[in-house]
Amino acid sequence: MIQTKNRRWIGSALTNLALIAICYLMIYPVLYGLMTSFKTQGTVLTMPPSFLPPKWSLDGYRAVMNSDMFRVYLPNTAINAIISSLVTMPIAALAAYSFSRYKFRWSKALQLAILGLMMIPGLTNLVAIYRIGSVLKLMNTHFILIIIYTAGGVPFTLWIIKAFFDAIPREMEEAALIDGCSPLMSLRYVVIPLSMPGLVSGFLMNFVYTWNEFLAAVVLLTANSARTATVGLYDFQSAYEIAYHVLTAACIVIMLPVVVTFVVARKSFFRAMMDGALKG
Amino acid sequence: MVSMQRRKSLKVRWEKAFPYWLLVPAMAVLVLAQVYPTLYSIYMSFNKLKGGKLTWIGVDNFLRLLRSADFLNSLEKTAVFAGGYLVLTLALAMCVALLLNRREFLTPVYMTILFIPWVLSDVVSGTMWRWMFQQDYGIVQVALNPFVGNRSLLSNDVGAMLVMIVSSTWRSLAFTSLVLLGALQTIPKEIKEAAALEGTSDLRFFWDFTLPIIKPTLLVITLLTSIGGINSLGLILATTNGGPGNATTTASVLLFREAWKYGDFGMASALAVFMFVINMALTFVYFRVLKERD
Amino acid sequence: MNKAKKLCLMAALILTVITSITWAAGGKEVAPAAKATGPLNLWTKFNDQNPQNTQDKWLAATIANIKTEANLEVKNTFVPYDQIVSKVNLAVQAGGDVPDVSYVDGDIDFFVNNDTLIDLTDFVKGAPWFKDLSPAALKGVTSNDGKIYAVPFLLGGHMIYYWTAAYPDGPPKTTDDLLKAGARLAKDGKFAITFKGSEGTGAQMFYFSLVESFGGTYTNAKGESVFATPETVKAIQFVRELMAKKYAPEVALAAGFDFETPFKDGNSGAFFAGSWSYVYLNPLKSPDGKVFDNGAASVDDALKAGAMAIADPISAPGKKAVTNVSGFGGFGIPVGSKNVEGAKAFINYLMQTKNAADFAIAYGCLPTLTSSMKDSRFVDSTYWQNVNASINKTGKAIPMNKNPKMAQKLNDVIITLIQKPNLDIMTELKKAQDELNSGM
Repeated sequence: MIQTKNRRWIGSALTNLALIAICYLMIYPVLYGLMTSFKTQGTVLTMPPSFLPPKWSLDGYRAVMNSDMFRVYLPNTAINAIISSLVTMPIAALAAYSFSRYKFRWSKALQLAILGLMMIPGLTNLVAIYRIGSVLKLMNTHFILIIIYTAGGVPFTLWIIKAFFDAIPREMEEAALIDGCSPLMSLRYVVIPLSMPGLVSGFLMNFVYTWNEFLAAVVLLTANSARTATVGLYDFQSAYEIAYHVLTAACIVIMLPVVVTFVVARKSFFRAMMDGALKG
Repeated sequence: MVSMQRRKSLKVRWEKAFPYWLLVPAMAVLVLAQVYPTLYSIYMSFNKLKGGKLTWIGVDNFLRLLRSADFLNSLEKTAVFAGGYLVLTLALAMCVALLLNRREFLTPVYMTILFIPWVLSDVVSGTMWRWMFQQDYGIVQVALNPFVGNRSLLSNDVGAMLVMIVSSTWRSLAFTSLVLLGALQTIPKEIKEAAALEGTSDLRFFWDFTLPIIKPTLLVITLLTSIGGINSLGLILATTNGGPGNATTTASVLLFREAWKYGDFGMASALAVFMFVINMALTFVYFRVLKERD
Repeated sequence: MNKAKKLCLMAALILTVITSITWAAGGKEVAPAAKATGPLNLWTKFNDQNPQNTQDKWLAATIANIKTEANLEVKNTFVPYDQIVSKVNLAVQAGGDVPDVSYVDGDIDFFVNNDTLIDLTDFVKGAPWFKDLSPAALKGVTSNDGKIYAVPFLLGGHMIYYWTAAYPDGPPKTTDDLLKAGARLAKDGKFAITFKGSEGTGAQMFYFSLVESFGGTYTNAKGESVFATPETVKAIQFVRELMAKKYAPEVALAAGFDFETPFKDGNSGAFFAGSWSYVYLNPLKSPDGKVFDNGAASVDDALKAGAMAIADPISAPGKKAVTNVSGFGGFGIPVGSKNVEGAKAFINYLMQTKNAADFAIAYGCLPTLTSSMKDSRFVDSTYWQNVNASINKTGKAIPMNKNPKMAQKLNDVIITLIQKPNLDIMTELKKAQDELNSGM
């Protein structure tokens, strides 16, 4: 018995060691970026390269704070992310309710079609979207990106929410319907409150995806005033020289909101991923 | 009499049509921003776009695409990249999932840390990796110098591809591990206990029991990862920009280059149609697998 | 109607509406709009709102001056240097928001092949400054059928910057010199030369010089690619040898500008430069440890101190050196511009002797107006006189290629040939040439 306990103890220690090593490797690039951002112009490029800054400095962050990144790009990104995620929710929820609760002829086919849309490489549509946007005079507005992000987010959000709706027993709604509720009312007062965790998950997944999005933003936006953070990263890589401490500071600033959101709401994310990917 | 009948049939029709009305907002957005542009891209692939004017040229773009050495090279690079990424991700994610499955006390902490790469933007990640491998001062490059004869990985065709495979795996490892972990947790306790009683070794157990049970999930992951690898673009652009030369120019990168750098939207659209077909094929297989599982 | 039909009808309706909007507006020639009100929409790769260097500051000052002097209000949109060409083209092709006037880098053939810019032949030939324009500059913006598509402002030269400590007996002149120097410098762990050998720029600068000097050429008068010749093979064999023996750093083949670092640190004896490179080459450290840290004046300081010197580009043994003078910076008017008159006024304002000189100095190139060349800042500077002499002696303008992918494709082939020494050079060149000539 002691032998098994020892074995278990050793096994546990090894497992933890392995996991710690793996975690360190996974987070190393971010840590190194963080350390670089606290270096000065003179100490960034040294041979041999140092991990810790020999002299801690906020030069990089100061440069970022004074630039358009902080004043213009980050707010743009925030607006795009929050609004498109909010808009995606009701659209996806309504559709998810329809697929979850109703049996109708095209249900399966439409579900497959919508999920299939997730597999289209987005780049190919950008010229067409660019054209539509120009014609409708929506270029360089928040509107066009929000539409694109909403369309991009609806399929997987729908999938996540539907899994949550499916998990709610129909008896609850039937009770409400008998009491005289219309289907929409039962959706609003019964189903949604019960699946709130799922809705929050959906919102958060969308938020992360749109915050980090790059391609649509770089192709569709030209004006400085509409630029987003990921595109604005280019500002810090001028044609001929790169100040790595400023560049990494900008990277850290861009990733901070998303990382914080994730750490705080991680349970929500995990639920969405597990339920979403495992169920069909 | 008649009016009551009509009212009733109206009500029935409204109820029958209701689920469709719920779908209208989603359909509207998806048609406008996804379906229509895709159809338009397909249309563009049969045209030449110059000076803002489209001229029909039939399958010319497709023929040129098939004859183009760039295209064939990009297929090879896509296969290498997606293949390497898939194998590495599966192998590592399986290990991580098995480790996490032991339910150590700090598992929630580990999972949180592991997921940080996943929440980063692809261009932010690419920038960080490019810095780590910067040829003179990049900390990882310098550390590896004794082993690679002081050659910069990012300036070398094989090295650049390796860096891309590793960084892509780095980004998606957490997600894949999580899904595999979920699958591992579906293994019935009874089987584990029975195997423990019989003294089955861990390795044997893994081979004979674990793998078959999670096979459907493995298939799903393979498909999702393959699709992800084929379509990966931002990370490659930010790290190597398809270089050096065209050593990391996968089909996605080539598409971007054709449209962006050369302005050859006709050929880019042809390539897009091609990729679309491949993606659709993989998606069909994916749905088939899901269906079989239920 | 049953539900299926209803859904189909709805979908069809939405599709029809969208399709008709887009087809009505696109696909045909974009109609010239009425006289635009509001400021002139300018796109450049310069950041006038947040100036980082001399060019940004120049643009900011110019926009302020043009308002007071010519009563022209200009609004600049900063587009990063590696996006501006694509963005302008995308805007024109997709029928989007096209700028009224745009800075164009030396990618004129890209724009010409895609019909992105308006034909300015009449405007240029009828302009007051036309006779003052250098013929070499004009050639670079004229298409093979004689039409002028942009107004050139910047004339760049190519040369070698070298550290005198690494080359005490004088600069390397021929490819043989470079190989000998490489063997010598390798003993100290240094490189003979560094250069940008990637992303199409390599083909336009360093490789061009070598190929032309050996007697090959890229494009003929009809715009066809003709580089698959024994002379080109000799040039590429040289580059192969240079890279295989590690006389030049491998990073020359990577994307970006990291190839500059070895020269800035004194680890490379020479640097294949453009006349504008001095703007970015700082801080500097010579091979014998002298430091020059003075922003854009670092190169000047090093030249004055005798630590650095300038030489003609490398030539083939026994042959003349050649440099590419087809890559110009200038301004063009995209198809679909809403304020063509304003754009022309802007160009006319800039094309005045002093203004053109200011632009050229800020950028690091020679101006294209002969009168601007007489500006004291050029006349009194040994550097610029040397650049001018070099351009006159070695400069060659190549005809525009029908296929805008030529430079990138050739560059990729050369990199592949370097990295895979077993491939036969002529076969690969021929493959690339045939593909380029059959496309577009």
